[in-house]
Amino acid sequence: MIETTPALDLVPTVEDVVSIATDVWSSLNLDLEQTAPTLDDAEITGSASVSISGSWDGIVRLDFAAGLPGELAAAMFMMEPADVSEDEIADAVGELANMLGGNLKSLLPEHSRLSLLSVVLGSSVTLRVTGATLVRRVDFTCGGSALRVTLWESSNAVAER
Amino acid sequence: MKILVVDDSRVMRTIVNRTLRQAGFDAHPVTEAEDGVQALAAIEADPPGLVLSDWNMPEMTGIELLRTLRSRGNEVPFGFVTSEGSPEMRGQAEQAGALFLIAKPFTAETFTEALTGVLV
Repeated sequence: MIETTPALDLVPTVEDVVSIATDVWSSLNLDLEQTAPTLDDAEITGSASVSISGSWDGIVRLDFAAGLPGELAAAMFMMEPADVSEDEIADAVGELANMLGGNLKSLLPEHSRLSLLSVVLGSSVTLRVTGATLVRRVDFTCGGSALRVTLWESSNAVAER
Repeated sequence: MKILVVDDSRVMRTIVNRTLRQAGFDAHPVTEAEDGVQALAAIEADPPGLVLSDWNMPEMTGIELLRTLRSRGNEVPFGFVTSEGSPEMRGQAEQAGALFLIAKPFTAETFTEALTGVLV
């Protein structure tokens, strides 16, 4: 795991991310195991994010390796992977980001808000987070495929410290 | 007693449906709405026995839906199923008139505990 910058006490810890992600995946009867950093940006085929604002301003983002978004959607919808549509895949990974983000937000002081979701899918996804600093990265495997959770803190918040 | 499930995520509506069955509430027909605006129209057209609503949705949030209902004198039993289960959110939910707040991720047992006594 990588922690790139000294972070405010407000920023959820790696342990928080692991605990919440494990609970979310477990509730869906999906396996999830924390690993060393493995997912390269070039391997990302899906990304879902939600922003948190208020006592902490930042973004919670999930990135997935090839095939994993479809597998997750199939499991959540209880369908065959070949039968899930792109809309259903986007819905499923978005909801995973929503559950992760919402639970991380619950760890923050009062008066934080959760945004609606952003989801990007494709054979090769390049998604840049501008105006924010990477403050947490946690990598996992799910069914042998890689995914990672990153937390990005607004650069304004970093500058004000 | 009909249950209205309100969530902008179809997969979550599917999972809530499934969990209701797993929790033993399969005798209750379930209808769905994608956001607070759709839900409000559905509730006023054909009142359900219980509303299970997400919080964060486009068009009209779950808390806005609940406050609108109560301001119109509609006392339909209402509970939240949301990823945001902080004490602050639970307080807001209770103050607005919700019977319970179930935090995602949830289990069938969570549903049984929250809904027993509400669904007859």
